[in-house]
Formats: sequence, structure tokens, C-alpha cells
Amino acid sequence: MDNERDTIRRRLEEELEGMAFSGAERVLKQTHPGSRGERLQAWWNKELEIPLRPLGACAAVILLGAILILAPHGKSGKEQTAAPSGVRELIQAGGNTYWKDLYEQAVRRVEH
Amino acid sequence: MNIKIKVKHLVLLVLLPLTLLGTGLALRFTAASTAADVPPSSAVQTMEREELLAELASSTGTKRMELIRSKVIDPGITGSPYHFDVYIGSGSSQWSDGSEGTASPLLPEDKIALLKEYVLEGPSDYALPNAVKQLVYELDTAGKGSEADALIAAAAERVSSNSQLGGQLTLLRAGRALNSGDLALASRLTPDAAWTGDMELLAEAAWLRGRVLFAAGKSSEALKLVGEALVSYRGQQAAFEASVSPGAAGDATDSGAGTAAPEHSSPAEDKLTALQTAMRQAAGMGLLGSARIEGTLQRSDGTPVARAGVFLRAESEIYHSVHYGDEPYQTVTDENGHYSFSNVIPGFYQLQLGLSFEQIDGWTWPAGSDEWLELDQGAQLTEDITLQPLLELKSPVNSEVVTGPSVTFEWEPVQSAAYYKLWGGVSSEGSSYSVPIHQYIQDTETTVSAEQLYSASGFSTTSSYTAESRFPDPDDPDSWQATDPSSLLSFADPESRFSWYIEAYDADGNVITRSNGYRLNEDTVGNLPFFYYKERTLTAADRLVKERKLAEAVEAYRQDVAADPQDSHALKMLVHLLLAKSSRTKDPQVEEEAIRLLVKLVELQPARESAGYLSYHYYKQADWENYNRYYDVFLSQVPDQPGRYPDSTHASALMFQGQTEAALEAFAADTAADRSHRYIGSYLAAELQAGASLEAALELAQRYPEHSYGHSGYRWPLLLQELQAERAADPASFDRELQARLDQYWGGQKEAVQQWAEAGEPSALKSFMTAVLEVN
Repeated sequence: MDNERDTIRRRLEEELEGMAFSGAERVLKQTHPGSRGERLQAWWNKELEIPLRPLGACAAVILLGAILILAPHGKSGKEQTAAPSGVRELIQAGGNTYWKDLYEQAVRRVEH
Repeated sequence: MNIKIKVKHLVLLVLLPLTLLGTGLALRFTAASTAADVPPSSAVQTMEREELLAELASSTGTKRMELIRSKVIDPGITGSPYHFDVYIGSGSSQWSDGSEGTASPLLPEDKIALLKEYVLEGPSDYALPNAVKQLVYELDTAGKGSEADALIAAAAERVSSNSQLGGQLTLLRAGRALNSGDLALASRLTPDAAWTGDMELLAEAAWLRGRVLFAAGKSSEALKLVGEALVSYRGQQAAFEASVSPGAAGDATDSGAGTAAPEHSSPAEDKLTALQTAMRQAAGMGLLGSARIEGTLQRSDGTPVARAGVFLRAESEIYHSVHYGDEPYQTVTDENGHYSFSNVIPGFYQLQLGLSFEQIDGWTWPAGSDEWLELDQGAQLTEDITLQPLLELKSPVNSEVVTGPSVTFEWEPVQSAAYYKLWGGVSSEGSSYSVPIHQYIQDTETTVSAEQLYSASGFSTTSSYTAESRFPDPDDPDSWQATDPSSLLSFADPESRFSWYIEAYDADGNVITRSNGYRLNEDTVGNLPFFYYKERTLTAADRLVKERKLAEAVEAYRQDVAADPQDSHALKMLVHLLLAKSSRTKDPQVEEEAIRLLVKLVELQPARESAGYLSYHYYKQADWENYNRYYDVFLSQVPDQPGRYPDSTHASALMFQGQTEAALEAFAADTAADRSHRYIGSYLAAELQAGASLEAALELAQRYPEHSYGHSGYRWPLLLQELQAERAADPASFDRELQARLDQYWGGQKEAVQQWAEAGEPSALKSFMTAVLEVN
């Protein structure tokens, strides 16, 4: 049994003889970052304590502002036509080739 | 109350979303503040350009080169420089899906400066050949082809000529020298047989060497070389495929298929094969050396169209779509719209264009699918291409509902148009088709009666299936029930939306422009070419057709006809349904009934399509009495050119009836008018029967080359040349045999000719007669 293991070990050693691991330094650098990195990591995981009430009020104001500004202004038709060509779809209808959005808009206009 | 939160959670969950929100708002305000008529995309592009240029200006050395590579060269690789939004060929048009890469914000001059810097000073890495190709493309479009050549040479000096990079650059230079007409330089640059490289480069080198040899008049040497290169390439490819998937090869053997895995032909192989085909055909016709073609691409108002792709495509290659970046003859127009190709193998070609959506929007290139360029040995052809503005339709448009006994179509006049052709379109969920409704209209309006419109589609049908109906099995006798209802009812369906378009022709029968094309912005969309025709109401039987209950519909129409023998609509629908059924079931009784009813229909309502169908039916049966009767009815219903309708089938019918003189006259008129020359074989057989010499027939065959799928335009001339060679050995017995076979053919004994052609030793006469038998 031991004999067999020995043989296998010897063969393995022979086969691996030509190979050398040269990346030890790089790996160590990655697994054990320098002190600056460690400090950054510690800060990244640092726990803060924040009073909830002022934070909630602040969030409410921001949210309200965002809703007011981002709410649709009823001009979506114009924006549709300005979509970049990469995301638009071409279709063939009546022998012509149209951008789908433009075509549907034109059809809506003539067929109530 | 306090909450505890880690810094990372604060950043990821709170600050990051807030920042994104802020950016969104900022962008919104920027977009809103730009002028209304400037598309936001171009404003964004200008901004991106400035940012990128600033970023580049602030970097130097290796970092700058890396930046050029990642921001300029690499994004350009995803699509080849020869990749265009729209490809327009003679009678065809296709668009790419637009997902190929994104447009660079840089202007051509920015690109030229940056690419030049990389080519001359950057690292000699994988990106170098791509940088060279993009630079060359940009310089070509700027009309600076010679500067491009010098830069390739400079780049080539920076790398070892034996390396893969060096090989690529050498081949690029040689190819450009060949295309620009500098055969001496091309010959000097093209690597010889001892040159080494990977299989793709070797194939490319052989392709160039073959062209150089052929251009120098050494056709047999060129053919030998290209043949060997193909064998070698295919061998290497098979070995490579076997090494990649040995399992697949094993499976094929196990299953007993015994054949190789499905062939994956590559662009390199296709190019070599196409060259081989072109050289063989040219050499067969005794055409040696090469040809040159050049021209200018412009709009009808004289504005040149720059940066457009131009592809010169050989007859054998016209049926597949453009190989992006790997077409044998590809170039791009310079700022004057100029293009040229030199050292082209003589033969038949068509030009194809690569355009951007902006270039084609509202314009059309009215080239017909039957328009061919014959590049003869030593030819110097000039072929200008003019884009024309789309014609505008006036009425009925925009889904207008038309009622009344006729429809009047009206459109804007086109200057220099001699006549117009009106097409009508029917579409359903599954299919759509267009049929010619009126030809040779000299006015800018035409009135079509309800009967004409209802019968315009003739008796052809298309099949379709819906989610509910099964996919039709062609062997199933009931498969005719998958016939598309819209192809049966066509313009007689008051619920269906129809479309139409107009083609404008000059006096020589060339299309000048048309109303259908790319309409991609609010200004070019124009009037929508749609209308409804609500003159009649659907009958109960029509409803059954619409519900795809065709067997029930047949019975319902039968009852309608029994109740009112004058009901031409029911009669026509019944005939149409029975013909659809007999074409699938091959049941002679059904066809017999359909023809019997069709005879009644023509008596009731002598429409062009019905009479035409009947006359062709009797033509196939060689029933000349009935053929002549219905052909006369057909002619009387052709309003456009009564009595002068060029028709080779009729010419053949006259020949079969022994009216040689009238037949030859009809053949001559039709062959001159029909640019596909698809009946030239019958015309030649008729001329030979009438006593024409092989020389005269050869001249005719050369004047009217037939272009059809799988055949070269040189097919008939070659067949005749072979006849001449065969005749030379023993003219008297050849003439006797030829006359005997032609007598048999025109005497209606096609089977006898067929049997003779298939038996015994092959001969040129047998090949010729077989080709005549195949004319259709």
C-alpha cells in the first residue's frame, strides 16, 4: 500500500518537476492588502448612528421635490420621436418602411 | 430614535440612489433647455465628443494610446467599416437591425487624426490592423486614397513582414493596388506560393494572386491556383472542425450517415468559390484580362452622396445578402460621391448600395432586378447612380373610406415620366401581397372599376395559419383549407384595409421613381397609402371564408350560384376556392369543375385575369382552339396596350400552331421588352426552326442574355458555341438531327425529345434541347 503511494508520489513529483508557481507574491498582495487598504476596509464597514427623525424629514422633502419635478408633463409624443435609432423598430406597411413608433402615431392620427 | 447603519450600506442604499436621481434631473433639464429643432441625440453627441477629446488631450504616452484603442478603435470593430443601415440592390432592399455597435461621437477628421497617430506611433498589437482598416476607410471617404496607401506601407514597416500582422497589412495593400488599377504594384505586393500564414490569410492571398494572374491574361494558371487553394482551405477547415468537435464526427459515423458534418462555408471560401465561378465563365466565353467600372452616386438635384457603400456583385453571388466587410468588390464613395472598381473579372454584375437611414429616408434608387451590367474584357464602364425623391400619393390615402362603383387613384406628377404603373396591396395578419392593377397610365390619375379591382388578384392563393388553425401539412388533402382568406377575398373584403403604390417610368421603360420606400421622419412619412373600399357587403359565404371554414364556404357559394346564376362574385369565389383545392389535392375532377365554372364566369364577366387563366390552361393542354378563343378575350381586356401585348407564351403558342412568321415577330417584341429574357431559349429554338444559322442564333443569345437563378447570362451563348463546335465535325448530319428534334419539339412531341435527350451518349445538341425543354 505504502509502496504504491510512494510510487504515485514519485510519479507526481516527476511530472510536476517542470512546473513552478511564480504568482505567490501577487496572490499574497491580493489576500493581504497593505495597511492603507485595510484602513479603507475598516472604514467601509464602520457603523454609524444616525437620528431617524431629521433623516425622515429630509427624505420626505427630497421625495416630494423629485415627484413634482419628474412628473410627466404631457409631452410624451414628441419625446417618442426623438428616441435614438438604436432602440427603434422598423416595420413594413403598405410597401413603405417606417419607424414603428412614428407609423403608429400617424395611423392613430388618421384612424380615430 | 436613532438608526445604526454601516458606511457601505449608507453609500449603496442611500447616497447612490440619490446621486442617480440628481443625474436624471440634470439630464432632463439639459434636454429641455436645448433648442426644440435640434435632436437631443446630436447635442449629446457633441457633448460626448468634447468630453472624449478633452480626455485624450489630457493624456500622453502609453495611456493615450490605450485610450485611442479603447475609445476609437475597439468600438469600431463590432461593425466592420463596411456595415450600413440599409442595403439596396437592383429590385431589393434590406436593413440591418441597428443593434450593431453605437455611433461614435467623433467626427471623421477627429478619427483620421487619432487613428493616424495610433498607426504611426502606437504599439504593434492586435489593434493595429483594425486601426489601419478604419483609417483607410475614413481616408477613402475623404477622397485621400493615396494617403491611405502610404499609411498602410508605413504601418507595414513597423511590423515584421513574416508576422500575422505584417501579412494582413501586405494583403490589404495588394488588394487596394489591384482595385485601384495598379496591376504592376499589386503583382509585386501579392505574396507568392511560398508565402506562409494562417488559413484565412492564405485563402485571401490566393484570391488576390488568382485575380492578378487573370488580369494579366493567365486564366488557366489563375484557375489552377484558385482550385488548389480551395482544396487546401477546405481540407484545413475540415481538419479544424474535426479537432474542435471530434464527438460530432463520431456520431455522424455511428448513425451511419456516412457524410461529413453540415458544411459551414466561410466568407473566405465563398470569395474563392465566387472567383472560380467568375473566372470559369469568363474563360469559357474567351474573355481574358479585366474590366473597370466607375461612377458617381448622387441625388437627382446633383448633390453627391458621400460615405455610401458600393458593392459590385457577380451574377452568381446576387442571391445572398452582402457579406459585411468581406465582399470581393466593395468600396465607399468619396466626398464627391465617386466610386470605382478596377481589375474586375469580365462578366455580368449588379451594383448594390450601402446607405445610412438618413441617406435613404425619403429617397429611392429605382434600379430594377433585371438591370445588369455586362463588363466585357477591357471594358471601361461609367455607371452613375442617381437617387430620386419618393413620389407622393394624393388620394385615396390616410385610411380614407371609398364607396361607389369605382376608385379613382391620384398622385403627384413626376417630371419626365412617360407613364405610371399602379399596384394594389392586400395584407392580413399572416401575409401581404401586391398585384399590378393598371399599367401604362399616362395621366396622374386613374379610375378602376369595382369589378377590375375585385378580379385584380387573379386566382393565385397564399397559405397561412393562425394560432387556432393547425400548421398545414402539404400531404394532407385538407391542407387547401389553410388558404389565406385575404388571398381569396382580396379587394372584395369591405372590412380589409388596402394599400397602393405607384411606379413612374420613362419612355424606355426604366423606373424613374416610386411612391414606396423608406419614410423615416415626420416630413417624409407623407400620406399613408391606405384606404378601405366599402362598396359591397359581406355575404354569409364570405363570412365563412373569413372564418376559415372553406369547405362550408364552397357549399354556400354553390347555393348562391344556384339561386342566382348571374352572381359573378359567388361564381368567382367558387372558382377560386376550387382552384385552390385542386392545386393541393391534385384532384382532376375538382379542376374540371373549376374550369367549367370559369368558362361560365368569363361569359358573364370577361375579366383579364379569368380569360388569362383559361387561355394558359388550354395552352398547357395544347387545345389550340380554346387557347385562341380565350387569348382573344384576354387581349380585348388588356386596356393598356390592346393587341400589342408582348407575350412569349403566345409566341410559343403560335409556333406550336405552325404560324412561324407571327411567332417570330411576337418573340422579338417580347424579348426586347422583357428584360429578364427568360424565354430566349424558346425564341432561339423558333429561329433555328425557321432556318436561322447557329451564328445568327448566337448573336441573338448574346444580345439577350437570360439571367435566372442558378444560370449564368452566358449559358445560351455557351450552348450555341458548343453546337457550332459539334456541327463542325459533320455539318450535314448535324443539321438533319437538329431539324428533326426541333420539328418534334414544335410539333408538340416534348416527351419524345426528352426521351431522346436522356438516352445514350450526351451531346451538345442534347444539352441544348434539354435547356429548351426547361424554358418556363
